[in-house]
Amino acid sequence: MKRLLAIALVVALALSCAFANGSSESAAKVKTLDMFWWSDGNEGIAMQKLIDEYETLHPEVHINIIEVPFDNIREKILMSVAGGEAPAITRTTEGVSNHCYEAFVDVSQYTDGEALKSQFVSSIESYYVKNGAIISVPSDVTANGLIVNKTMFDKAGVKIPTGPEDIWTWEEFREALRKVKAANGLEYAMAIDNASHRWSTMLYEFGGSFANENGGNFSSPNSVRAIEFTLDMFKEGLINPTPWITFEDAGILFRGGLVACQVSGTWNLQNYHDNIKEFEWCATYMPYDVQRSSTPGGKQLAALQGSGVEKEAVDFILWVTAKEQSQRYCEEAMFVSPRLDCAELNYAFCADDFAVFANELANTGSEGAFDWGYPGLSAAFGIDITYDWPKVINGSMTVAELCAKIDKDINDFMGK
Amino acid sequence: MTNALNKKIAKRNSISIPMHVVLAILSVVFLFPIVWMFLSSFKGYIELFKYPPSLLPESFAPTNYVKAFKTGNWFTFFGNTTFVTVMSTILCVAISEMGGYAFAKYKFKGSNTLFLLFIATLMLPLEVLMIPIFLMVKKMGLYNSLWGLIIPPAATPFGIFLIRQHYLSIPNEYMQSARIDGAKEWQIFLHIMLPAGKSIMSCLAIFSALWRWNDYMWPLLVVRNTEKFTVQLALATFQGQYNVDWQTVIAMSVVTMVPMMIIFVIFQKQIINGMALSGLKE
Amino acid sequence: MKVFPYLMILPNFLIFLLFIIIPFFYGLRLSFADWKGLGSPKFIGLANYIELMKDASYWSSILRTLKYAVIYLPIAILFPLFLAYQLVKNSKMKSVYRTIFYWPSMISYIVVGIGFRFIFGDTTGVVNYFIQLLGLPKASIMTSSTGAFIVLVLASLWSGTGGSMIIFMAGLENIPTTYYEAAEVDGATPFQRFLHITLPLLKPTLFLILITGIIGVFKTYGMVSVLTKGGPGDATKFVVQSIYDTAFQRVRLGYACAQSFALTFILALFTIIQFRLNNGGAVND
Repeated sequence: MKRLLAIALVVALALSCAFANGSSESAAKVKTLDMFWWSDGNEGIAMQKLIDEYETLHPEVHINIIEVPFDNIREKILMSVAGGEAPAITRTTEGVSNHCYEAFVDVSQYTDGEALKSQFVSSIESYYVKNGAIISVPSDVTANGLIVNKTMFDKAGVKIPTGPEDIWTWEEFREALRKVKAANGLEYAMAIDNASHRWSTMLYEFGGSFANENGGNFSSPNSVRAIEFTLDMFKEGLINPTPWITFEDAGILFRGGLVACQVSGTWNLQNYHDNIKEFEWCATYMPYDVQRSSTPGGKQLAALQGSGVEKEAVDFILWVTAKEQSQRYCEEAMFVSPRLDCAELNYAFCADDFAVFANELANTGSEGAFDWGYPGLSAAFGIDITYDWPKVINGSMTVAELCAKIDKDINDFMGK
Repeated sequence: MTNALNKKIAKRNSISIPMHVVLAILSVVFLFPIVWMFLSSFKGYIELFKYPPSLLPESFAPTNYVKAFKTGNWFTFFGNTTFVTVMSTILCVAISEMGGYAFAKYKFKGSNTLFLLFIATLMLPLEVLMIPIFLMVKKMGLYNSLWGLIIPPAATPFGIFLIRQHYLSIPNEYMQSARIDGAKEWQIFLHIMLPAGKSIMSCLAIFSALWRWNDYMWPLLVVRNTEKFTVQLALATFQGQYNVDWQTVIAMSVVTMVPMMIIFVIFQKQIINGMALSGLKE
Repeated sequence: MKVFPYLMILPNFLIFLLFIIIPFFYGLRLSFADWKGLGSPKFIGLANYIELMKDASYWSSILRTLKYAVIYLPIAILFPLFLAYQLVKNSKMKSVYRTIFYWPSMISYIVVGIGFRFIFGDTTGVVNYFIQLLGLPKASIMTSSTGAFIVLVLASLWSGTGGSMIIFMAGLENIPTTYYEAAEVDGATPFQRFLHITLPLLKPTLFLILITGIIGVFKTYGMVSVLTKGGPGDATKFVVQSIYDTAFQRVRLGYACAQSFALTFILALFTIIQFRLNNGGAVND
């Protein structure tokens, strides 16, 4: 028994060594670039098509997509880097980059950084420029915005804005929601995806923000107004609290016709186009208070230090984010392109909705870029806001306590 | 023994009628989530989230299953998972049996300290030690190898503990009489004690198999390339940042649970027989 | 034959050494450092442990976990014991029951979490539908602290019962029937039999379930992370989740290590006390 076991162990170790060696030798001639990737929709397929094309153009390069669960991508990157197994490229978001950018290659070492930056919309610059280094290149942008159930609004006789000139104020919108709720016999009129990134759009529209150059800004009068207005809407039963409290997907409520509108973003358009048959829906302009706003987001591609193929990785990233490729990628995957020269894309459907989101982005200030782009900052308040907003809703925490806590998080982090 | 006494014992040893009712109700409650998952796996996107919910799907067409199987190389994933589960379970049962038996039946220098040390490893939240563990996995050449999913998790403090507690309840007299007959320690282990551990070993085998089958942390740590994916890891990659493909997730969840359920039904008899044949009952 | 027992524990020991003990010391070193997971750690002496002493949210997560343990553990031990006690008896139905009660524990916690979220969800969950069918108003289940807590207990029981049940069954089957026959001759009541024969002889098994149960509860993370994600608010945010958040959401790996060793220390204390009190879970002669 014991001897058998010892043999099994030895064989196991020997086999595993053989496996490990075998894989690294075959890559002698063709350079293999591993790329961490996750998919929300069909963007993986769109990317693979571009990769195939790139490999034809550059037969010496092979790009190998490695699927990683999005929830664990940070851990995966940190482990790989610590173990000297960094992939050549990773897909990233501003949130992931905030944690991992120190492991990313500064693209401006390989190309003219200023020229590169000038090609992309300025509102997302803080997402890929950290401490002056260009740590990734944007591949697509998302915009937060409002998606409404047109059938329900029509039934209540509430007119949906048709252009940027007749947008609701938040007061008007609240009144409209009351009507829509009553006319459709709804339990709640609206859902907001989450209490952090998605709600922040509302925060900016009231002129507030989580932070600014001076540190925490969450106790400022405008921030507090935004919080209290939101809280009133919860108390009145206008906003469905479940997505914030139980982390339920707000899209479920909207698709199921349980709410009349959802504060969400561009990534839903394709999904809703494919799946909603029971009612008419469309994207429309977010209400404003002191100003209009969206919150930009999106994905970037980053090359990692220490992969041994940094140059090849950067070359590929620059190619795939260039005008022609970006256009094809974004059109096929139904994304908004971050490139200024790709503002007008030909989408197969939902073109009007994309135009609304694009207009929202064009009318967005710099608050979101600071909150979500300042290196590491969103990690300092993101968790607390997510878990503390529900406490404010159920009354176990006051607005003042929430503001003080978030400001303290931010000031501690920024050293203010 | 009198006839009346025998009858009395027989009655004691069978489940009473009221108890049958209780057990039947509990069974329904226990089965409900499984049945519900199974039925939901046939539902369409909107149907899955509609209210009021319907128990039965609109159709039993295996659309979700077909779609799910198209999205990834599931045959490879299942193959990998099966290989890992079988190998790791064999290893786990063998080394736990050895270790647990030694801790139960021998007083040796440092035995208590060592045992507590083993149990203490159960208390560490391994998730937090991911990076250092990863470094060791890499150093041992187990990175991106299925053996990395087999060898490290095979040593479980729980297994040693389970086996040890089992042997604690088996009297030492059997060993002593064998020693008097001149048997060597390894002979005692192989010929007397190993057969007496059958029941608890099959118990541990079941545990180990389902831990490995359902494991998520080790695959996340060890596996890099898609062709080495296990089922649970593949399942997790369906959950993107914004969109979770619920239809696929539920369909594949059902597919992952079915093999385990069938295995239990098949081996249930063996496990029970194993228990009855532990050989030490009068 | 002094070397025999050492040889027997060697394979396990080697694996523990390589994959747990060495990483543990690496982590122990990190617990004295400020580290973001990249670059070299900055050693800051005892600062992490001093911060830990004053970290109210850490200690409240420990208390919350303790509360969960106090409520959940007794049920999680007695219920499977009850089932096992019934299912070692003779009946044609027993293998059916065993299968049904065991099945849920073969399902991965991810799937259990997903399933229970669907079933108990406030807005589209089937349980709320049943409640409405009974003519009652829709209940706040997952959105209320108590509700979410109960769902978590139910889900854990559902998926944990089978495992403990078969361990208890193995333990019960090991009790020689002669003891029972003797008790029958003495005219003992069923309760007396249970108290004076079953329970003492089942002690090693009970001890195992108790110790692994306490440790398991304190390490609860997987299912919670799918089912409630710690919510509502932080009503079900137990200690391992808060450690995990520190490590990978706030990206303070050094501090997270300090937090986990404090937890390990507390658990080790619990376990050593249990061992001393129970003589290692051996049957008293």
